[in-house]
Amino acid sequence: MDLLQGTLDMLVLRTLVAEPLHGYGIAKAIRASSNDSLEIEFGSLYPALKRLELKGWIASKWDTSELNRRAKYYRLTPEGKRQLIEEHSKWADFVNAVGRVMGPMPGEGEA
Amino acid sequence: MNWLRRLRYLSPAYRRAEEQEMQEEMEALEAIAGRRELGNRTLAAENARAVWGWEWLASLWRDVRHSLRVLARERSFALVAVLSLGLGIGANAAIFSLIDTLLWRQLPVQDPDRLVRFNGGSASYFTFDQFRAKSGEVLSGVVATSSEERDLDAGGGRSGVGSRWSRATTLTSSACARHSDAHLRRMTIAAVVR
Repeated sequence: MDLLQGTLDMLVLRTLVAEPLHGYGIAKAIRASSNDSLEIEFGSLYPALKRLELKGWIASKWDTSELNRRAKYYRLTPEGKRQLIEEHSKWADFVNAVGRVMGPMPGEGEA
Repeated sequence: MNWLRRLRYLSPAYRRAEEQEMQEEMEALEAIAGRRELGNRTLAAENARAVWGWEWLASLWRDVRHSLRVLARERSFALVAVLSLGLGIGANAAIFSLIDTLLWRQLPVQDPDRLVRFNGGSASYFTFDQFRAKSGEVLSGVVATSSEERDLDAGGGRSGVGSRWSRATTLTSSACARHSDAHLRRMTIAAVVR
């Protein structure tokens, strides 16, 4: 499934609410919580992480992974949390608006 | 501060450190996920570097160096280009400064908006004298000039009164009476409004 422009940043912020994750962990988490519908390419995820870090919405530090491997873990900053809340309400408005326009498929279920 | 963080990437040392950090991070991730799972690492790094935001500056610098090399190799082309640019810019500057002086700038005098010129072509010394004598409440000073270069005997010696603005006081009535010929009837009169 293709992502809408700008949606990836929002997904990353949302995924980091629960716990800090490394780059691959974020991709796995998004895939899992979308029931394998969203396959995030590392090639677009990694620049997105750097972009969010530059904006100060996430911060990173080296840590040890579950299998005792070193990795850089990203966590949400307070600023990032504010941004997520804002984007979440914008997203909800967007989904509602598109839903109202599309409605149920015409010619189906009606006599 | 977004722009402050971005500014740090201007330093080559900082960029090298970040590059090193990025490669380490990707190697660590490859160790966890496997090389195939991560896909094109070079492309990911390339796009991450674009996020730093100074790609345009780097490519501008590359362009400048390239063009300097080309100009150094093609001497005659460079000469013609520099000459035509120089002539073009010079001509533009000349035309602009002319237009600027004539149309846009005010006269280089105190209170240029109080300075007026009398329309209606030429006037005689008599007219000028009448203006000077009777317009005391409206005008604070009246001057006249003649477009013809001519010596004027103002009583004592001869003084060259050319096509300059001559102060009203230098053109005395007696001097004018002696020179009531043609050029004194073709004067342009200007005044300063009170």
